[in-house]
Formats: sequence, structure tokens, C-alpha cells
Amino acid sequence: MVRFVPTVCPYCGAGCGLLLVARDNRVIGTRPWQRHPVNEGKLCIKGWNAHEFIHHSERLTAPLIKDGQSFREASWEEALKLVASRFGEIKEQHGPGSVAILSSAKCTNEENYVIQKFARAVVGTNNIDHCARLCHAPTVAGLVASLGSGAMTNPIGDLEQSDCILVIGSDTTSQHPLVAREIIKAKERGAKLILADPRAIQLSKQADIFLQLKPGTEIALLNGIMKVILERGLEDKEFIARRTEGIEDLTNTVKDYPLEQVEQITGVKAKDIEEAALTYGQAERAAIVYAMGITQHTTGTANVMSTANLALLTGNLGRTGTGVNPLRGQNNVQGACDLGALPDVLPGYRSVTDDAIRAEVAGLWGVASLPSEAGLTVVEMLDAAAEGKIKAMYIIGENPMLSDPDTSHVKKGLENLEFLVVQDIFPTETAQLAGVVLPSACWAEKEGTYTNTERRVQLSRKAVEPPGEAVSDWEIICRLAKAMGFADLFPYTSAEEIFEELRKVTPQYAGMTYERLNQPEGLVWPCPTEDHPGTPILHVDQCSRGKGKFQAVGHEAPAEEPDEEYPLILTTGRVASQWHGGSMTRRSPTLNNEFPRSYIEINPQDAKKLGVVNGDLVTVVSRRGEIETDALVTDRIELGVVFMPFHFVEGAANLLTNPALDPISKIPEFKVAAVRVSKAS
Amino acid sequence: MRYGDTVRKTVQAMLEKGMVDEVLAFVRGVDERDVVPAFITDAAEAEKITVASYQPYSLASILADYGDKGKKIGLVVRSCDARGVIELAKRNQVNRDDIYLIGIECYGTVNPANAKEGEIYIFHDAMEVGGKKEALDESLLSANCRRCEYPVPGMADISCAIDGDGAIANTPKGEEMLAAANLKSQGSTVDASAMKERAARWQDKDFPNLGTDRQERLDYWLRQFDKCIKCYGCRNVCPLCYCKDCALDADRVWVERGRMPPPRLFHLTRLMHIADSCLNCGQCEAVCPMEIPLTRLYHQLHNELRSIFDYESGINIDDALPLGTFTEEEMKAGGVELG
Repeated sequence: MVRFVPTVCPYCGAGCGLLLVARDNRVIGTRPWQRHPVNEGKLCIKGWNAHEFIHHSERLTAPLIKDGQSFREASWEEALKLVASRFGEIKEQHGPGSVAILSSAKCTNEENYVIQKFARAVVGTNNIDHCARLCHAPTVAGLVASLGSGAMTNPIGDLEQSDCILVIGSDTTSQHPLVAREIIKAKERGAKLILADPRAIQLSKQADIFLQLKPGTEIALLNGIMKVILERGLEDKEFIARRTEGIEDLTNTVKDYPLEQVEQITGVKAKDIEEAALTYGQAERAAIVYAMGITQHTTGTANVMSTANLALLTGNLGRTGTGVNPLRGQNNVQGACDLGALPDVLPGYRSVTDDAIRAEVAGLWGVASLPSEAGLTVVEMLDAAAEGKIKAMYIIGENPMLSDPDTSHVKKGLENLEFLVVQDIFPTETAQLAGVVLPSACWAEKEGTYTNTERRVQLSRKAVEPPGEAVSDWEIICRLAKAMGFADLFPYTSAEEIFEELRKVTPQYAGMTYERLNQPEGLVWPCPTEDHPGTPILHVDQCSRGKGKFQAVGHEAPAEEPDEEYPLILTTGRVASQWHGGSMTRRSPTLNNEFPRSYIEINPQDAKKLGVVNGDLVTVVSRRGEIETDALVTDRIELGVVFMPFHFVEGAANLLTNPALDPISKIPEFKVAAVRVSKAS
Repeated sequence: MRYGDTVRKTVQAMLEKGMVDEVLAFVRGVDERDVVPAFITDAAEAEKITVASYQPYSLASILADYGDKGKKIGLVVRSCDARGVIELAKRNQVNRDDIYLIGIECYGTVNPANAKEGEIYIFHDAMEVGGKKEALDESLLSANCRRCEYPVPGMADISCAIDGDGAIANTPKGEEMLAAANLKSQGSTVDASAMKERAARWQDKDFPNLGTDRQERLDYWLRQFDKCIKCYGCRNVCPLCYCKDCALDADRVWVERGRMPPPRLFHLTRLMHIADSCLNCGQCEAVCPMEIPLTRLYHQLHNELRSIFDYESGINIDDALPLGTFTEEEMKAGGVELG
């Protein structure tokens, strides 16, 4: 019998609704869910083919224990006993700080809650982080400092109501297609679209003003725009006076950005910057949309603050069609952050260093105390592993061997561990290095909630049973906690029971229940009480922190700039039909066939200089590594810049990228590395 | 009395009497504005069928993709779905003998995003929203529905009224179906000419406003195609796009892969393949994430072909496809001698 089961798409942060078509215990198709408020019956290519990896022959179906160079299958009992005893020994011998955990932005809210509780209450460490560190850690840090809440300010659907949309560092049609739909709808209503991106991405065809800037010059561009706005008197004086602080700092900083100088730094013509400033500055309702092009820099947090400065300066906050709108990458990266899979905060962004908060949470959990020192972030964990300070890692649903910068260094760190546990749905490149591999259920095989980029908490239903011995991540964590003697802290028999507990310690989720969430709209946080309707727009009457704060920031060059030896700037990103490390999409035939190989985009003039023609195999070398890939000669990319997607293990861009970190948010600089390219011999 | 009682009564009787193995219909989903397809086997479940004016999927396409082959299946259909089934049968994708079409009259459907309060029923001169009768607001209707010339599914085995117990048997099979449910074949009150007028009015509005100048029209569509993100949604939902091995699949490399927007060949290939039979069911446009008004293009071109070839798709299973079939005369006219 064929059934149609409503779930939430497992790919991007837009959080589209889809119906899985299931026959018996098999998912045979996907259909868009028309009633869903985000996608309204539409999907992108990834959503349409979300079911293709579910029953792939390489799904992990039993726990695996490394035996020499290969793995052997084991029972849950044996595998968990081994994990429990090794974690226990290492904690005993080297202290709780020698263990580190990577959670997953693909896991449910309930699972992220359970794993951070495991880290803090069972292991006794705050060494827990996840891939938000590699995408929107600067958003969380930067928007909290500027506005008081580190999340997208407005609903996705609001964009349609904008009069002007500034998209900066987001390949929206390819990475958040159903958000791009709202931009297209706004455009067709007559809104102006300003696009700032190093590449002439598809959205450039729709843009009224296209600012093709050099990677790593975002602040210079935004300061230039704000200087024009101030000079022309287009700032919202009333809003600034009533709702902000620190305008003098901003005015002082941006006066040092005359357009001629900004043109030199960014490569964007002064008259285009001026036109963009006038268009944004004069709009009644202007919205900013950004993604990794803003965050993945050593100035990531400052870049984010700069976008907030622009919105505050023009009073584009707290109203429909305005706002600062970071597009979160993973389907549940918002939720993983909300539920405390971060090294410095408990669920609800409450600081681990606050004694009263720790005492409150410890009391609720029934433990004596919780660790009070902030833990390590993703890249720091791997550095510490390489240095021998981290001895054991528990990696859930992440594949740092492809997704983290400087892969050789990542490998060195992971190989240096005494004990590595990987929990996943596929035998990833990272799982190959593990001592124990635990098989998880995928999204279609469990119930739970996900929080999309606009803070919408949504219930996803179970369509089929997991394969073989695989079980949901939260069940595995509970079993492991039991094996370590902490069964009483993890008594859950369903995702709903976990949710009932997590809403007690997460103020933003306090008013939500599964019963209330069982509607297509879900609920948008903050939702403090059970009669609260949710909060689609943030900062309406005042900012979450009270006054919005101008954080004046200046341009700083990327950590690595081109020189004679490495004359080109490498910037990285993604293609429409692949996803991150590819463990799902490369096992989905329709998606993989669309984009099956790694490539590098090179400007025709650069290619000519290098004697490279379209389709040539080329060697790309950085200070970290060397790879071979196909040349795609295209004027989509500017002179002096090359672009690579990072999905492909053969020709892996992250062997080349720079692990230099933003000092505040600790995000690595994926968007700028110096490389040289030559025709492969 | 609920709207669609005749439909539910017929389905229940057909399942009880073993006339069909299962029935594909829309049932209520998570809330009252959510309808989802369901394959119903238990007569008691017929109660769940809704005829509210939502059409999230072409049930003809759902049947072709997920229906059990070799089973006798009933389908609760609007005209566009009934016509889709007939076209699929014409192409040997389903066996019309095994399919029982329970038609429901339809004056237009609504995307739940466009009518945010309560369940909606569309009638030919009014609508009911959240239990309240109101004047019909045509702007709520899907664009293809406003252009539709087929409010009554006369090509289905029976056509039922939404309100009341009107039901007409259109085929001998339909007579058996009504007999099973103890229903008399009795006429509906629909004024078909009023619907023809509405369809003509909207076709006049939708088609020429793309500009009469050829270059202008071409530019309009090429701009639209530039928005395409190649999700394949239009192909996936089209009841006429049944090929398991599609010329547009990336690994065929007929259309260069990995390029965004896709080369125009992508859209033109689909247009060539379906224009002679387009049913104006609106599904391609409804699923397009980039809001390309695809049905308008297909429907307009289909109307041109319809008048040239005097062909109406989805009505008679024996009418051959005008662009996919060659008569002896046509072959001779093209200089082909048949041996």
C-alpha cells in the first residue's frame, strides 16, 4: 500500500515540506507538499530527489569495530561496551577535556539536545560543536553583538514584500532555491535587486545592479555604501536616535572609505557602488540576504556586523520586507545551535560561564554540577587532536575529511586520536578512520523536529523503518549513556519525551508542544508560553539587546593574499545538485549525474596565460596541498580569481583551503586562499 | 449532507462490492486546507475522501508513478485528471479497462497559500470559504483553471455534482458504478455555456498579452527560461511525461549538464514533446519554484495545434496524437513511399 508521509526536506535551511511516497517499507518517491508555508508545492532538484539515498546499498546496517586495517560487524552490546569503556578510561586518565564531540546539523532538535546533555552531564566537557562553526558561527556572534539575537530577523516569505533586496555572498538560486523564489517574486512585483558576489551567478541575470567584488572585500564595499547613504542624508535619523547606539563610531569609520579607494579594494566601479547605495537607501522596505560569502572569512564576524550596520543605519529592521537575513545551510543548523550543540552555550544560548544558569540546568537534569569553562570549537578540536591534547572524539553525522579546511591537517589530527567513534548513515571518508562506527537512522526513518533558517520549528514524521540494526541517533546516545552508567539521565522512550524536557531549559521553545507543532506552519521561536503564537519578525519595537548597536568595523585583508608564487585567489562553494561532502548526494543518481565531477572555474584571460583550454586537466597547488581537476573556462569568474566546489573527494578543494580563523567566531577562511594553477602533465 | 456525498457513496459501494481493488483520491491531510492523495482499499475509509477545491497533484500522474499494475483501480477525478488518464491509456501506460473514473465537477482549484482562511469549495457562480458562501473571486483560482473549458468530466465513467445527488453515467461502466451505489443517473444543473465564456475570457486575457510581436514574445519566454533552476519539477509532475528514460535526464547529455540556467533546449524539448496533447492541468506551473508561467505557453501552443489538426486531447482514447502519428497521406505528402 502506497502512503504519503509529510516530512521536512533533509538538505538546506529553507526547511521545505515534502511528502515521502512509501510503499511497504520502501520510499519510492518524493512530492512537494503544497500546503507547506515555505515551499507551497514547489521543490528544488535536491528536494525532488531526497529519497534517492535512503535505501542505498552502502547504508550502514550494523555497528562496526576496526579489526586491523578493516572493520568487522559487531552487536550493539559489544560495540557500545567498547565505546563506553574507552571513553571512560580516557576521561579517567586524561580528564573530561580530552574528549570532544561533533554533533550534527542534520540531526533533530531532540538529538542535538541529547548529545549536548551527554557531553556536559556524562563526559563532563563543553567540547561540543558542529558544522555551524564552518558556516554561521559569525552570524551567531555578530548579530548577537549588534542586535541581541543571532538569527534571521524576518520570515522567508517576507522577502516578496521588499522594495529592494541586497543579496551578498549567497548563490541563492542554487543553495536556497525556495528562498530565491521569494526574491524572484519580489522582482516581478517591481522590487530592485542588488547582487554582490565574486561570481556572475545565476541571480546576476535578474539583478538590477551587480557588484562583482573581490573575495574578502565585503566590509570595504558595505562601508562605501554607508558613506554614500550618510552623505546623501538617506539614513533614518529618527530610527537611529530612538533605537540605536554608537552612530558616531560608524560615521567616523565609514568616512575613511571614499568610493575611489573602495573601487581599488573591491574591484567594483565607484558609480555602481553609488547606485547601489542610493537604491538601497531610498527603498521604503529593504532587506539584506547573505550566506557564506559574508561569513567564511577571517573577518567573518565583522562582515556580519557590517550588514547589521547597514540595516540599522536605514531603519530596515523589525518590519515586513526588511531585516538582516542570514540563510542557514543545513536543514537543522539553526536547531543544533538553539539546542546548545555549541561549546560556550547551553540550550537557548545561555552561557556556560553563568553560575546561576548552570545551577538551574544541573538541577533540572539531576546532576551535581556542569562544566563551567567554554569548550573547543571544530578547528580547535582537530588542532588539539594533532597536538595530542584531545584523545578521543565522537563524531555524529559529520564528515570533516571533506568539509573542514586543510584536509591533510584534519587527517593528521584524527589519526592521532587514541579512539574515534563515528556515527553516520554511510561509511564516510571520516568513518574510515574510526575505531568504532555506529549506524544511524536517516531523517525518513525517525520522528523529530527541525528548525529552519527563519526559526520555524517543524515536526517531521517517520516514513519507514531504518535498515538492519540502525536506530535513530538519540536512541544510540541513550544506549551509550546507559552503558556508561547514566541511564537515569536518559530515560526517554520517544522524541516527544525529549522535546518535553528540552523546552523546559530552552526559553525560546518553552511554549511549544508536539500537539501545537502538528500543523503545517509549525511554530516560530521565540515562543515563550503555550498560548504564544510565535514570533516571525524579530526586533519589532526594540532590538533583542535593547538598542541596536553600530559595531564600526574596517576592511582587513584576508589571511592569505596572492603573490608571485601563488598568484590566484581560490574561493570555494557549492553546486546546485550536490551537498557538502557528498555522502548523500553522490549516492543519489539523479543528483550526482547532474554534476558528477570536480572542476575549477578560470577566467578566459587567466586560462589563456596558463595555456589552458576548457576541459583540460589542471593541477591546483596551495601552501597546504595539491590536487588535479578539470578546468572550466568561463567569464562567470573575474580575472585573478578561481572557484571550486568542495563536494568531491577526488579533486577535494579543502586540501587547498586555509584554516586561518576569524578570531571571534573561529570560522576558517574557506573563501580566500592563494593558489597557482598549471596544466597537468 | 457534505459536499461530494455522491462520490463517497459510489466509492464505498464499489469497494464493498469488489468492483475495484483500490481507489485513489484526495483525503484531508494535517489540517483542513491540506489534502493529500491516498490509495483506499477499505470501504469504511471512503468517508475520508474530500472534494474541497484543492488539486496539489495530478492524480493521473500519481497513478502512473505509484499505482499498482494489474489491479482494478478507481480514481476520483476532475476533468484534467480524467483526461490525463485517457492520454496515458492512449500511450499504453495504463490499461483503461482496469481504471474506473469517478468524475467530480470542478469550477477551479486554489493553492492553499492563496486562500488562507478555512476550507474552500469553488462553484460555478459562488464559493464557500470556511463554511461561508461568498461571491466567486476568480483571482483566487489557479490561472489554468480560469482558462479551463471542461468543468464537467464528461470523459469520466460518471460525473458527479459537488453539491446534491446529481450524477450522470457517461459509459456503460459508469452505469454499473451508479447501479452498485443505488444511484440514478440524473442531470446536473451546470450552465456549460457560462463556463465556456469564462474560459474564453481568460484565454483572451492570458494569451495575447505576451505581445503580438514575435521577437517580443520570444524575448519574454527566453527571459522566463533564464530563471529556470532545472529542478525537473515540470517534467516530474506532467501526466504526459511518462518516459522512464527521458531525453532530458542529465546522463543522456542531450542537454548539457551542470549549466544554470539550463540551455534553452531543455524547455523546447519538453514543449515539442507535449504541446500537441497539453491538458492545461496546470501542474508544471504549480510546481515551478521560479514562477515560470509554463502552462500558459503549453496551453497557447496546444490551442494553435488543436485548431490546425482538429484534435482534442484527453477525450477519446482512439484519437491519435497529431504530432506523434503519421497517416499514409502525410507520409506521401512528405515524399515517403511506403513499400
